[in-house]
Amino acid sequence: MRSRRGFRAKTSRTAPAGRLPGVSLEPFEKVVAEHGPAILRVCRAVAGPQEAEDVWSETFLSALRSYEGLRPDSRIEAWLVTIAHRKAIDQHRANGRRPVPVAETAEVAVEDPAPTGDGIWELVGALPPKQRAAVALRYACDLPHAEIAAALGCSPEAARRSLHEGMKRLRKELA
Amino acid sequence: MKASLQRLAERADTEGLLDVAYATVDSPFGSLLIAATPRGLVRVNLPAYDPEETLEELAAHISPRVLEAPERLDDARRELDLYFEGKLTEFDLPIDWRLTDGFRKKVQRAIARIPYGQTRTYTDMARSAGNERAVRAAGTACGSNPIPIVVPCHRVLRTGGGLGGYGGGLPMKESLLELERAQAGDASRTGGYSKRRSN
Repeated sequence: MRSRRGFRAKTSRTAPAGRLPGVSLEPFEKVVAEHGPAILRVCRAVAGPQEAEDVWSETFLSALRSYEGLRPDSRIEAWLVTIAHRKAIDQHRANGRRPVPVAETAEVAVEDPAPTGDGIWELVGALPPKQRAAVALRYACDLPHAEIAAALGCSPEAARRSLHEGMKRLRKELA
Repeated sequence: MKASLQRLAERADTEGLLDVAYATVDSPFGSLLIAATPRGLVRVNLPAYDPEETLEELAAHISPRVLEAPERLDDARRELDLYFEGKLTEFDLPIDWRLTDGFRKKVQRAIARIPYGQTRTYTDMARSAGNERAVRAAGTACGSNPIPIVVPCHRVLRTGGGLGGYGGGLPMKESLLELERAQAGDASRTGGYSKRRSN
């Protein structure tokens, strides 16, 4: 709760009408600090490690644009995840239109370390798009099926199926 | 993550989405939080107050589009640094007065005109704001100054020389006056340094 002393109490008199203390939105910086890391995990999973940072900034920029219209009691993380998913799709389409040239291909044999920590997300990143998104939304963001469906724009049943297929594939890879 | 945050703030700024930019500045009294809108410096939070609460207030009273963006406050940070080193006697920063209004605002604008190294009384400020008898209201206006240090409410004392009050604590008020007295004394001998050469 805000304190009632000094400058604070006085400025509350000048508060614009309609903004009651306690129900106003948090400073956006706080939203970024609180949800930034989780959303970055989502971005890695749905857009791949190379595009993750770009998708992340597009996500928060877009969120900042519409932040003022958000109801203070909204579920912010679910909202951000929906935006991240949309931005990942945009990025994907943009990349499809202009293929990225590769300077040289790696010829060194790469060791395949056992997935630990974030390594699992690389496996998730290799899943087909719908499965990848469903797994990311379920496990990186802890969203229920209904909200995953809303984020993916499909029925809850289809979301459940994508999640199930994705998990089956991951288990096989990890076995 | 840090680089991403900085990029986000930069892009928000170029797209006109950064309504309140803030930064922290080290001072001899602890860390200050300073905040600016596109119009100018809007808030200086003294170390005695919780910066988190101040950010919440800015979100509630100005806009929730609040991001840390130190580059946007480069001038203010530089001038404050110089001020604390005793090398700057007059701030030359655009001010956004939107957190104040009415009589308080008149008093605070008058405070902004008190020269470096000098002091005035609460009665003087009431008179400057157009109502000599509103001494108590003038005191309140000093106490609710959203931009302390830059709007130097520490230069306002009680009639008779008593220190009066200060949001940052009386020791801070005394130190600021001491710093300015020392520098102003030097300046009268050597010509001193002022960012603004005339007026």
